[in-house]
Amino acid sequence: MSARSFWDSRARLPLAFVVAVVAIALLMPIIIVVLLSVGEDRIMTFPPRGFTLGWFAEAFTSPRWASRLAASLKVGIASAIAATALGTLTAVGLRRARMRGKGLIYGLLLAPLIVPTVTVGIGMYFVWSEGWAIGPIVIGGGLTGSVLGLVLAHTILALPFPLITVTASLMTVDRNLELAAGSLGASPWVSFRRVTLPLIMPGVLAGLILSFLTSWDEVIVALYMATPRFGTIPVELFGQIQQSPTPTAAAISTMLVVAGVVAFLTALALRRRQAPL
Amino acid sequence: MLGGEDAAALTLHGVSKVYDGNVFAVDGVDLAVRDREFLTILGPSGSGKTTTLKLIAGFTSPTSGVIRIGGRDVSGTPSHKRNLGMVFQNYALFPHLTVDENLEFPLEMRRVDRGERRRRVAEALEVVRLSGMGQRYPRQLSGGQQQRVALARAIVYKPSVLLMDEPLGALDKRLREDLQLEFKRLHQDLSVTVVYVTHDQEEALLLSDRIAIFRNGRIEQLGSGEDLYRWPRSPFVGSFMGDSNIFRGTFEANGDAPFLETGGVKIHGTVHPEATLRSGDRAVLIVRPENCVVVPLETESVTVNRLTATIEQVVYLGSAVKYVLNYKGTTLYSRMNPKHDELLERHPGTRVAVQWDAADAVLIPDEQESATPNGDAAESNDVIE
Repeated sequence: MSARSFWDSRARLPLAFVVAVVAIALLMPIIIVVLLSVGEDRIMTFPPRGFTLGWFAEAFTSPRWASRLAASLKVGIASAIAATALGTLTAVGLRRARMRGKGLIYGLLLAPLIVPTVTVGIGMYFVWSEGWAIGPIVIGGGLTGSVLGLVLAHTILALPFPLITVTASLMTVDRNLELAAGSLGASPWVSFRRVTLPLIMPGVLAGLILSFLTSWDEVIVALYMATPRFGTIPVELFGQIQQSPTPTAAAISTMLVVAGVVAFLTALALRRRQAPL
Repeated sequence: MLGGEDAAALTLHGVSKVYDGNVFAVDGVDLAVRDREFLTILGPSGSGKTTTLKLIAGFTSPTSGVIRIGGRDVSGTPSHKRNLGMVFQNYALFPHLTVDENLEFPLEMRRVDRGERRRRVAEALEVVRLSGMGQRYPRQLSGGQQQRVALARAIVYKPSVLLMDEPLGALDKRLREDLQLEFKRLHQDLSVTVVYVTHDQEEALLLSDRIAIFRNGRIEQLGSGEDLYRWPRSPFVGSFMGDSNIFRGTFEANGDAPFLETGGVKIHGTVHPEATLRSGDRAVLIVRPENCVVVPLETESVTVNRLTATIEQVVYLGSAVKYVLNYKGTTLYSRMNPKHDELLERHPGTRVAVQWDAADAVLIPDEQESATPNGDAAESNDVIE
């Protein structure tokens, strides 16, 4: 059956209705948040009354939000870079390596995607806060409430994304290209930098953006690791909503959504660019 | 520059490559490629020919043995320090670089300055007749053009040896023939040493100064195309290099007129100059279809060998007529100039006589005996020319 005859069939109207309902259900929370962020009332009310951008101004000027935003950006950028670097090297290494158990290693590295974050988070909290003693060597410990601790945690959570996108990009790269570069006089590092890396760049950038988004809206581990003085935007939002939500929270949420959409569209555009090559 | 053996551009000494501890992909290969020679490694798939090329290129390292390029031991040298040129079957052009940038890549690696790079790239493109294509990307070129670019990229830095791994495998017949002639011309013009891998014996004959026939990771025979075709050292070489009629039986020296006794029939031949055969040895006689003349039964025999057979099939090929004959249950082939078979009835079922000269039939030991002295196959052939 061709697509055309399907859309011309009588199923068209009911189907359009279902699609509309789902779309509204998905978009409504976002729309509500955006509307709440411009209402004039000090306590969030729906439907909002009046129009103001004051809450956005407050979000930008309040020192508390500023520190949360700084923490979120630091952790997001650092963990995205770390996860992408590690994921890229791992993908390239796994492809070059001739050994047994490659599938197992790949599977283990994808585990953060599958294992519930609540579970991973408890383990991470234990390791980062208490430390994990193996004989005289202690790994982690004393890292709660620090940028470094959360960067480490988010790097692990985000690792699967660049690993997947870079592995997918590598599949489009002919293995003989690196051999050819070698025969032409390029050392393994030069052939990676001049030949492989440019060809997998769309996958690397997509991995970078997805890693950043992972950290940007991650709340569970960030909550475990938070202290009264240190926390990311999602943690702060979470706390505020439980106490007394102000429209500033909605304004912040709106900005999170916009940032997320921009990042996602960028990732999408990069994948498109990969296709014709 | 000189040094090592007889000014060979490239030598392999007892080179082996073992996979998984016991699979010999390459098994004790000795080979000396002369300076400016076009040497082809010919063999069926799995014969170790591509692995041998990869060992020379440095993409994989030998389990044992020594590889020398220009007298220098490169066995432990990584690929990028061997100064070789490599042409791949699938071109392996860098898709994100233009033709010019692809050609400049090896020159940049050698820190050639910009002006000189430009000059040499233009020169190389002219050699492969692609001037004016420098700004294009590989995907904007046809397969044949891409392979020319790959060739230009492999010669632009004047490597000491040019390696080619079935470079025409992905192209259609017509294009393949064009490029074969071009390779031959380039080899002569550039006077470069070439090691070429193929499974196509016609291609090997057309291009090569010498051909090394590979089988099971060893060199079965090494020599000029003519040597291999006229004097195959084994039934394998005989059947790999063109069609052949092969008889198995017992050898009789019989003074000056040696023959093979098979099924009560004596077939005379000439003993391979490098083979030793004693009366009573198991032996093989090989005769090429074009040396087998089919005549009507009533024609008088003018040759020492004459067998009676039945026509099974006659195939008209334009330049030749191919007869498929049945002789006591085995199939014989004859290839004749269409002019010479006017007298003949071409109907299947017709009884005819097949005849050939003893000088056109080669007598060699049967497989088991010929399989042992493989190591010296290369050397003894080296001496012959």
